[in-house]
Amino acid sequence: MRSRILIVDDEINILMSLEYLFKRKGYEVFIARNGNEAKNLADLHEPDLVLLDIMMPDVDGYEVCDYLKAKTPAPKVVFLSAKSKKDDVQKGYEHGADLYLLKPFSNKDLLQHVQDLI
Amino acid sequence: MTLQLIVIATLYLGFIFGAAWFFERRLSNMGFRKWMPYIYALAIAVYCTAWTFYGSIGRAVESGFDFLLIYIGPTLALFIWYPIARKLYYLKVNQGIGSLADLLSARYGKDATMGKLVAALSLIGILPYISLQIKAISESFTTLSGDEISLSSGFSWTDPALYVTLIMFLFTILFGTRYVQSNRPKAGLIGTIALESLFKLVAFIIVGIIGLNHFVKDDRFYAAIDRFASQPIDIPMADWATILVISAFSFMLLPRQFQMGVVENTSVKNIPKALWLVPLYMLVLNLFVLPFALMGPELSPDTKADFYLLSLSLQSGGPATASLAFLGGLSAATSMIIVSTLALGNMFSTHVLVPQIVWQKDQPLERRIIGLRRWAIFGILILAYLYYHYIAQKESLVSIGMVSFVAISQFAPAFFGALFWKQAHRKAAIAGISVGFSIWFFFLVLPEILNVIFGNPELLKDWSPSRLAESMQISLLSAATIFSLLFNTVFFIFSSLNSRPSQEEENQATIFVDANRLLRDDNAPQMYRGTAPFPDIKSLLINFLGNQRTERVLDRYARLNNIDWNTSPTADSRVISYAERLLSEAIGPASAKIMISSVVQREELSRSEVLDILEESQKVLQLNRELSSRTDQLKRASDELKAANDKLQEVTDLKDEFLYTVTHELRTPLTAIRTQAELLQDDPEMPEEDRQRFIGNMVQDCDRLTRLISNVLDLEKFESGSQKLTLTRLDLEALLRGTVKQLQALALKRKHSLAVEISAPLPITYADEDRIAQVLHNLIGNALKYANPDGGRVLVTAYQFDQFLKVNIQDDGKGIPETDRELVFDKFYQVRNQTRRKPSGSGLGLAISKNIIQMHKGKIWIEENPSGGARISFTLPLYQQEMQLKNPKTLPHA
Repeated sequence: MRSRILIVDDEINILMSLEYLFKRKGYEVFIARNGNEAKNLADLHEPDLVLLDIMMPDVDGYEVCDYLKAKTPAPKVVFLSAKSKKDDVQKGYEHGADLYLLKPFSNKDLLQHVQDLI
Repeated sequence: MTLQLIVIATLYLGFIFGAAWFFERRLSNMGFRKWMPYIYALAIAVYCTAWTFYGSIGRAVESGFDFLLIYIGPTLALFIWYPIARKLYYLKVNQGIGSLADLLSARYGKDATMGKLVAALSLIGILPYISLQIKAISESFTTLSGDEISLSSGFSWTDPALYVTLIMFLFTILFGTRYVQSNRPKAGLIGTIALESLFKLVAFIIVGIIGLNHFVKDDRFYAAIDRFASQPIDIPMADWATILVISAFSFMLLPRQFQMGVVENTSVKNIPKALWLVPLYMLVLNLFVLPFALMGPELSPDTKADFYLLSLSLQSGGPATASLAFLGGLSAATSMIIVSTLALGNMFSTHVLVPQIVWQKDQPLERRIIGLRRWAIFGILILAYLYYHYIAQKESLVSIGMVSFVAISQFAPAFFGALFWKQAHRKAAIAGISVGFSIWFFFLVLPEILNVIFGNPELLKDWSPSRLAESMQISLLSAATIFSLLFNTVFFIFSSLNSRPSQEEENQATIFVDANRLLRDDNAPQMYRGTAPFPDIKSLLINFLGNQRTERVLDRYARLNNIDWNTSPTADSRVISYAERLLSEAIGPASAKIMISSVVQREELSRSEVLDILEESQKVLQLNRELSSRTDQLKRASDELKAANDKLQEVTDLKDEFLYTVTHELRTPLTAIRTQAELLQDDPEMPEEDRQRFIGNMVQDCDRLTRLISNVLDLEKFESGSQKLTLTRLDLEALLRGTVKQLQALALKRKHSLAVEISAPLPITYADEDRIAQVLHNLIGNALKYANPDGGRVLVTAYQFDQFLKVNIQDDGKGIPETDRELVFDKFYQVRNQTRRKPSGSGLGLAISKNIIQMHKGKIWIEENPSGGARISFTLPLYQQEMQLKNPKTLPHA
């Protein structure tokens, strides 16, 4: 069975390129443009891993992360964020993230980390 | 009515004890402070004794108006009293001065002989005067009760004056010798003396009114007035000038006056009111003298003139009025006795008795010093009583008083020299006083002694004083005064001019003469170079001041001067000077100097050094005052500094945050670009369609980056002040319509309607057109972003308002919460402190717009919009010409 990945970002260009990337690598990919959409899709498709932006127009990434981690089974969560301060990273892990990747990242690294996680 | 008199006198004395007890506890309270000038003035009115009360009438009968001279003299003295009293106050506080003997001794080189001389001569001069008061009490009692106490037959246990004397002793030691420091004001004493002054005034007025009311019904009164008026006023000039001079001097120098006017004074601020209150008091008190003097011989020919007040008040108002008059006389006499014996007791014990015991070092002397003072007071009262008993029978009240006045006046040359003449010399002062007193003795005392011993005052034949006075056609009193003061002054001045003072005296002279300038603070001036072991100084102080008080004053001194005794085992010269002053308060300046010398190896400073130190300490003091007055300002300044620092920290934080936010904003398009570039790179076989899409996106992201960077640079220019505006002719309406036209495409894309409404033609202004266009793009662009996503409407309106053009841009979106209306103009408002992203934009548009509008001296703000949605408004002033506007450099905006 193919691994399911949910990609959450309000930047459409990032969202679409990541979708293209992971589809090409054979994942089943879902995309969400905001926090609420992400929660709905997560409930609907039970992804194995969620790539999650932090700053979004409605519900922020931390809250979505809390929501995801409260599920059973909980998906792996990788924050993809431009928030670069130490505090931001730490806060991400405190919310139960499995990984915090700083934007911009290299596609190869991202793919590697995702493979390692699932 | 003997019994009644005894009862009311006892009640009255009980009353003053109660009053003293009350004042002792209450007078130092804040509430009483504002009454102190009045209390001070009334206390000085201790000048008016039983002599005033009874004797003035006697004198008016004898020689008409001249009784008034005794009050005109002090009134004249009060004209010059303020600078003198102020200087004396500073000296009292600063030099530890508790009497005239202390003052002269301290001034003339802290000289023991001077102190003894003044103490002894004051005692001799004043003792008869105190006797006079006892006599007044006794005789007033006799006059009213009708009982003859046969005093000539020797000592009598039935003499009421004896008991009054004993009670006065009790009062004086209870309320006058509470503290070892002789210069400390004693609230119970001051209050009671003031109250007694008030009482005697009120009593005299009441008795006077009742008497006058009685007299006006009597024809003899008018006849007496006529007789008095037709009588020529014929007082030789020498006589009235004499009385003016000696009464003026005595008003300042009498022990009781010095005690109340200087020693018991609590503040320089008390003095000015006394300057007019005291003359007023004396005037009122003398108002009724003349009617009684006129009617006495008519109504009460058998009574002694001195007691017309009693006999006439008995006739006019009955026993009650007479009793009131009696009590008034009693209060005048008692207050004089109390203050005089206290002052003399202080002087005598300090300068004559205490020097005998100061070497008994290793035992506490505080109580013994007070004890000696009490013995001195007791001795003086007993002597005064005996004098009254055996000698003062024959004299009238006034004449003994005048003899005392002349005696006290002998201190005047030395006193004024002490305060105003730096060259005044110790030996000269002693010589002047001695000569003056000798002449006084020869003229006014010797005849009495000869009379008492040999029964003949004219034993000296042609050289007898009365014959001398007669040959000059002036009174004996005038002759005594003129000769004594003349020789006194001449000796004083000439030997001063021919003597060289010691270093110590020279220094003291400087301090005394320049006291107003040098001594305004509480610090004792420093007179020596030298140090002493601190424990020695401390044990010396404990010896004389007692343990508790020593601890207290040293604590206070340490606190005021930031000294820690534990770490300063050596007392420096300042501390030593302070200790000397404290000792001086207890044992007088001469003994204090000797005691200090016993523990200090000291070297006296030259006058110029002392002056330097004093000037220096004055400057420091001045500085201190300014400093303390600026403490508030300083605190405010430091608060402001702290606030500024906080602000700076905030700015720094903002700068960090700005950078953080900028980098954050840069990362987002960069991420998109990199991801897509990598996709293109890794996948050469990507379908052409996708390839084009990704390349197009990358171009878009690059544009976004460029926009962001130029915005950041823009903002930086505004905030650093390097941005200039070029104001040119601007047709705002055309610009508005043009901008809206450009943005219609965007509006259409978002399915919003965008309209301009300008109801009246807008005047031409001058503004930076490009920048205003930028503002409009930003604001309208924002409005389109935030308008209702479902067919939103954006409306731009503009009109002239006063000297401004006003532009409103209004959307129908969710609006801006009131709390955020200021914040939206902050840089990156939409991302700051929050993780929720607002619709895209660089986040700098409003901040830049605000800068542009403010540089035009216009305003930009979020307006209340009743229909919901956001409404942003700005104004532009109407400029009349082209110009360049520069922004002053400012801190980055919060």
